[in-house]
Amino acid sequence: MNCYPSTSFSTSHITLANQYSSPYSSEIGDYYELAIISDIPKTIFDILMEIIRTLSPQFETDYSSTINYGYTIPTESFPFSLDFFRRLSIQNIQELSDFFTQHNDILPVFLFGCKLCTDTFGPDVELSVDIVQDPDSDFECIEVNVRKTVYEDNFMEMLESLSDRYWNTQMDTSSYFIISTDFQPPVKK
Amino acid sequence: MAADRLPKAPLVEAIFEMKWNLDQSGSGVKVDPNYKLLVGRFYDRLCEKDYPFHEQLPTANMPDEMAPYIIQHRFRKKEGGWPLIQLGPGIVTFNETERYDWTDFQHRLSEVVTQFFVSYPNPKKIYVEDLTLRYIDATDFNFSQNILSFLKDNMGMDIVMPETLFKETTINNCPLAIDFKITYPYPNGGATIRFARGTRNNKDALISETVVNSHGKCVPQNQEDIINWIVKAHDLTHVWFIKLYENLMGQFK
Repeated sequence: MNCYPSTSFSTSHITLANQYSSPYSSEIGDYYELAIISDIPKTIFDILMEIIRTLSPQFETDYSSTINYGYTIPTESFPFSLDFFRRLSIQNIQELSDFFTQHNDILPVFLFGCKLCTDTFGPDVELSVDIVQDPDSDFECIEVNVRKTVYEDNFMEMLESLSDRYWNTQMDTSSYFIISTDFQPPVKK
Repeated sequence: MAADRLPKAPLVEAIFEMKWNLDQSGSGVKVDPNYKLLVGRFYDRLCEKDYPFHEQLPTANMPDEMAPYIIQHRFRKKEGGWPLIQLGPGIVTFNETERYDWTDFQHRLSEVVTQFFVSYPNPKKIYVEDLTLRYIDATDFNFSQNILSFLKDNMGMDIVMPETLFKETTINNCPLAIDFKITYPYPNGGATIRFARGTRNNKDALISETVVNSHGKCVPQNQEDIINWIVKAHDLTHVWFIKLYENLMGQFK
C-alpha cells in the first residue's frame, strides 16, 4: 500500500482500506498558524508550501457531506486529516526546512508518521520534532518525541506498535525518522 | 442517483460542485482576493434566509494560501441537516441526502448558482473551471456472495476474470472486494460509473457513484449555461440510474 497521505475534506469519510480519518477535524493550531502568517523567512514559507504541494497530488477531493457510508476497498490512498499539524512542536524550523530540502522524499512518510501518532495518542499529544545526528555516523534523521500530559501504563506498547506501521514506509528514502519519547510534558498549551 | 421519490431509494448523497479559478502567484500559491468578501455577501443574500445554520469548519483557520479548494464554511437549512451549501476558496458545493427530490434540488441549486454570481464581488472575473454532478448510492450486499454474479444478473454488467487466474492456485474465484470504475467521454470531461465495496450504516454495501464532470476552457461560464449544464448532467445520470437499477427497482419502492 502506498502510504502517502491524502486529504479529504468531506464529512463522508471515504474510508479506505480500513483507515479511518476525520477530514473535517482538521485544525491548524495557533502555533502552526502563527508560523505561517507571521513574518517568516521565505525558505520556511517555501517548505510549508512544499508540504502542501506534496500532499496536493494525493488529495482525494471529496465534497460529500454525509458520514453514514464509506468504502472498504483496498486502495492506494486514503483520506488524511491535517489535524496533526497543530500537534507539532518544531524545535528549529529552519533546520527542519533545510533537512526537508535535502531529503524531500522523507516528507510524506514523516507526515504519515505524525498522523499515526495523533491518531494513536489522542488529542493531548504533542509531537516534538527535532533533527538528530546518528551517533554512529554523520547521518541525520528526524526524531519525533511523543509527549503527553499523562503517560498511560501501556504507553510504551502503543509506541512500539507504531513502528510496525511506519517503519516500512521509509525503506527506500534518503533518510529516516524515528518515533520515540522523552517522557516530558507538552510544552505548548 | 435516486429516482424521484422512491420511498426506499438507495441514494446516499447528491452533490453539485463548482470550482472557479484562483489567482496563482509566482510562488505557485493559489488565492482568491475576493473570497472573504464573497463569504459574507453570499451569506447575506442566500444563506441568512434559507440556510441560516452556519458551521465554520476548522479549516477556516488555515491561511487562504493553504486552503485552495478546501471547504471552510457550511450553511445548512437546519442544524445538522440537509440540504447544505459548502464554500471554500475556489469551491462551492450543494449537497442533499436521503430527502433528495430532483425538482427541489434543481430549484435550490439554481438559486445557489445564481446567488453565487450575484454575490461575487467581481463576477466578470470568475472563471469557472470545473463542474461536477455526483450521485452516491448504496445497496446492502453480503460479500460472501459473488459480486460479479450480482452485477451481471441485476445490472447487466458482465465483468469476467479469466479462469486461468485461479486454476492450480488456492485463490477462490469469488471476489472479496471490488472497485470498478469506468469513464466515458462527456463534453469537456467525462461521465463515470463506479461500483465499490463499502459500508452504509455499518452494514456491508455496494456503493455506486454516477459522476458527470466537465472541466477546462469550455466549461459554461454564466449562471444560465451552468444551470443548463446541470439539467443535462442530471438527464444522463437519471437515465443511467434507471437502466442500471432497473431489476432492483422493486426493492426501492
